[in-house]
Amino acid sequence: MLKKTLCNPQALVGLFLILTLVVMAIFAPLIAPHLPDEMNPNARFAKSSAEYPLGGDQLGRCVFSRLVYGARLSLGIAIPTVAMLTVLGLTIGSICAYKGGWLDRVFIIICDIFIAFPALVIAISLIGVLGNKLTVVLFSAVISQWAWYARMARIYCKKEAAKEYVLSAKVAGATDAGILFCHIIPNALPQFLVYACTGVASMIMMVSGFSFLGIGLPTGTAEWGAMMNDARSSLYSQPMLIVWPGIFIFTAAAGFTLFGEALRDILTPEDMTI
Amino acid sequence: MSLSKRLLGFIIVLLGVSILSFALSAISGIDPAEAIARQQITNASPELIERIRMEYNLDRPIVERYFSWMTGVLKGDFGISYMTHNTVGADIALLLPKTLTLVGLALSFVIIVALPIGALCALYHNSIFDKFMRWFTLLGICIPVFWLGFLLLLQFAVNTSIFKVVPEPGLKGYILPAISLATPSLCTAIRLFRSSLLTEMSADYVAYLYSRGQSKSRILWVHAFRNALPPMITLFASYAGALIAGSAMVESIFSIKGFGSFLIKAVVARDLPVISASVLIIASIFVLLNLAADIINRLLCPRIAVKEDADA
Repeated sequence: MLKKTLCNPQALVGLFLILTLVVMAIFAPLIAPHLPDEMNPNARFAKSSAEYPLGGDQLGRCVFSRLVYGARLSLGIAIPTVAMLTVLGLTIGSICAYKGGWLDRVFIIICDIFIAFPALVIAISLIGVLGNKLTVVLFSAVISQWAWYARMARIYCKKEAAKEYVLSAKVAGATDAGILFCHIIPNALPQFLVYACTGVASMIMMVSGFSFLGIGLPTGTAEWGAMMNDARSSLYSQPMLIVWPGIFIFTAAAGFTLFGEALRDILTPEDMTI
Repeated sequence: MSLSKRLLGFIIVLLGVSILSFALSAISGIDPAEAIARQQITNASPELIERIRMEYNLDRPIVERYFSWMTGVLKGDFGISYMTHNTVGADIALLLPKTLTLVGLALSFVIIVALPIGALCALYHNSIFDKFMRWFTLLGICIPVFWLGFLLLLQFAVNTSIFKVVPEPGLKGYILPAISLATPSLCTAIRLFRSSLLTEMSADYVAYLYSRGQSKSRILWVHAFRNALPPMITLFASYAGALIAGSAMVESIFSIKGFGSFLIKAVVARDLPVISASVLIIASIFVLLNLAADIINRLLCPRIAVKEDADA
């Protein structure tokens, strides 16, 4: 498995991008030449130089430093949210897949109801309840996405539950919980983690999309989407202020997508066609 | 599942959607009576707020309010907007066509481009074209819609003035927004159709057609193409709903005054009737299109219905 991953160019490119991002987030104070909110009136719209690698923005803040610190926010929001969704989805999905019957049917209907609401719609409705805070982003991500994760987990677990070893375990006297947590979930986990890996990419894009619209994070935050929103007023004179954050969002999302899709090819070679 | 069961499920889902749409606005910390009062007079007195509460029946329990809202909705009455003082139905009817034009254009762009390219990828499987498209579409999924919108605006409206920066009348003004809205969906669609076709091409009936001496391209275009369509129809239906919500971003970039930007404005103004109605409309369109996709799939490939009935 490890060897296959290391021989797959797509997985390597993805892994490289993810690691770069993680290093950037952890060692942000060492990499960034300035603090993200440090303003220098002389650096307003500065050209790129040794001191300001990607120039300065409309308030004279270092664009490169803000982008580097932005990695902390993007990863810091996306990864815990997806982890939460994974646990939630796997628990609900696996129980419904294993139990079946009316529980399963009710579950499918509830999933259908939640899937009908796009995340953006839930987010903007929740602002009224929670105020315009980061928690809005988290809650709306979980409320709008849990049904997708649970449905995916249900499909994987259903496939696993139909296999003969589950029947053998039952005959041998294993408890329901034992079968669920020792057999079905561990076997369905790898495929599900691949789904979660590509989920991180869409979560990164969702968070920056929200902050671009001014949802969740206050304007002026060193977040990629919020930076693009700040740069809108000077779109025609300083287009690079919008181009750079976009490149960072794109690269981050591409890292997780490339790695996740490559892992899927390795895990399920029969689906190699995808 | 038989069609009648599916219809029953559809009604239950729609009911759940309406409850959730209402609940989303009802649980908000905003006091609607206060919001209406402040629209009229900035420093509204408590007496005025109370009078409005009685006038709009906001002192009734939430279940009762849901039913009176729902009876209104069924008659086409979504209440009155706090923001514009027009009926919500009239406001939305004015703006929805713009957004639907944008989404329709984006969706037709996805369909027209994705199907031939996906088919070519499957036909020349593992060729350079196929490999290039695999990387290209994978990366295309990762392009943020709002960023692409700006890049297109910079390239085609500023650097070369093919389009104007200000919204143009007619369909031309929708071309750039539709392209930026469609691109990520287009890439997913190409990948899905390619894989759906490749699965079809390994089916038994294809081996039979080969043995009868038919060419690969004929089998693919004439036989496999149609059988590979159902997952695509389901995908297109679920995109339509997501694109309506996603249009809020694109409308804000290209300054189109549509449904999406109206919804964002309503949230800023805390206009509860507009929020509930918009959420309900978006979610209902999504559910309805999914049902339509289901029915089309059954008509297109009767074997799906047979297989599902056997599973149930």
